Amino acid sequence: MHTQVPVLMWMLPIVGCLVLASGIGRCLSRRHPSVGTSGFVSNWNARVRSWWWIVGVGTIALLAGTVGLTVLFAAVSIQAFREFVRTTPDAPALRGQSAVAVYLFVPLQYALILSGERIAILVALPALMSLMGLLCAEGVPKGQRGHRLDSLTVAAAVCIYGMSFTLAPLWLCPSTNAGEPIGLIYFLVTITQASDVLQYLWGKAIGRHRVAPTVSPGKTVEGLLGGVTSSLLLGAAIAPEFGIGRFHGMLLATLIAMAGIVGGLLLSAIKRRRGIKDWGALLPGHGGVLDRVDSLWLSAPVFSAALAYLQAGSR
Amino acid sequence: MMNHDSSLSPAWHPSQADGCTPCLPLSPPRAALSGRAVATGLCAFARWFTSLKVRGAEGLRALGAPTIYYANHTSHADVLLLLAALPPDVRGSVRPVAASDYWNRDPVRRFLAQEVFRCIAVSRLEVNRNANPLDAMQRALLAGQSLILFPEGTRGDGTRLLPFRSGIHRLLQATPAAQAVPVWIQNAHRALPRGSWLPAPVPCTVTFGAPLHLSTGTPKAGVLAAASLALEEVARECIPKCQC
Repeated sequence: MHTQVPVLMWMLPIVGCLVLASGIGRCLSRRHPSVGTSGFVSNWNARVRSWWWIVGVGTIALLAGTVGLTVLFAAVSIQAFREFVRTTPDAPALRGQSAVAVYLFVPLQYALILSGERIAILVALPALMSLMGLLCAEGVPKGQRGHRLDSLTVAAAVCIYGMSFTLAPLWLCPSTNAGEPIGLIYFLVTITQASDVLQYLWGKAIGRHRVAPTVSPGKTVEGLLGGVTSSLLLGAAIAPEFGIGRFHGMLLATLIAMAGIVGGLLLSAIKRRRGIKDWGALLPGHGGVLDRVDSLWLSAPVFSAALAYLQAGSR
Repeated sequence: MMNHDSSLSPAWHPSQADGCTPCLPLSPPRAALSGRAVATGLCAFARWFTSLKVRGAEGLRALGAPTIYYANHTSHADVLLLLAALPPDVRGSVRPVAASDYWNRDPVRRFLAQEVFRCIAVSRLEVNRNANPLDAMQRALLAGQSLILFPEGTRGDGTRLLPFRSGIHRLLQATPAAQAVPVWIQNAHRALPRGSWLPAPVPCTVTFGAPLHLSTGTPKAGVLAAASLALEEVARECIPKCQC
């Protein structure tokens, strides 16, 4: 690709953090060999190992540029959608509709994003989903209608529509410099994920007061505050690299972190209602893919809205 | 680089215009000092708050005074943004032009206008043969200071340039040593809309164009058209860019 995307420069700090995390994990397991397969240490090591895979795949997608990122997030959407629908109480009944959504709607949405048709990107999927919702509500026994409808529509809204906003910089601010939107996507994803990790770390370190004990027992006030504050600082630190001023980097990072918290809590609430702990088992230590991107589906649209607001007068 | 006809009129050279300095408001040193500190602080805040991007400011130092920076006017933030965009050593000799009927109304505004921005106060209400608002600006130019001028005369809505008033033509005519630099301020009306006192964190851009080149004796309409056109040219350069 002929894009001026300094992928290696962007990925090196992350790889550095992972090396550090792996080292810490190795030290911990050497010092506490008795802990066995359950508990914090093994979970830490599993998480870090999964992170290596995620970062590897992400780097390849970034190197492949716009198309690579589109393919990656289409795959993430498909997997997240499958995990969401699979855990629905009447999952087998939804097989036909979810096949349509996965094999028709996901490619459609991401093809539209590549084409850059703004109105179609925003309108096509909600319109198609409401049509399909109506279709699958017909001919279903009375008691089950609610389940199917809300499961499919929420799955599409969260896993396809919300997730596809990660690529919004591509069509929101097309620029002569192809690296610019890709940089913004990198900024969004990095801040979202870093904010999750930082919340986890702060929560483990000094977490005392639980935020929502029934919905998400792991989340603490200290974790959230520490996570938001440190992602705010991270945003200010890395923003100039992506053509964003430091103050605006701070604002955007705060928005991303807070939207991510809300998005994550909502998906946790759905998990609790369905009586499951994780969405899947594809990423050992984390759970499913949807567990890893549960904050991205909301932080991405919020970030896009902020971007659109910030640059509204510049064209 | 220097204006073509600076040599034509040695009579206008700043060093020979000493007699005019008393006309500029002199303030006690302490007020001047605190005003300067506030100005530096405000400029730093404006740069930070709007992630101010500055283009074309490299050549300004070599340009020297007197220079007339003329810009589009959409917001009260315009003056601050333009000052913040100037290199610090250039900023010291630059004086905005402000309407005295507005900026003299209360002590805060008076402090901002006189001590912080060191504005040249001109009256919009009493304009007659004895009180020509251009006189004060001309004296400042002759004293080797630069001006910030909004030739539209009032704040526009940010979508288009209003027709220029003739003051800029008069100033250029009377002070051939002065150069006119077009400055396009992008997004100020969104950062501080008309009637609002609460600034919004909208990224702004200040773009300096090349100084105007006018042959001596250009008629008024020609000067105004050329100035307006040059500013629109600067605007066109910076609008299609993505600013995030």
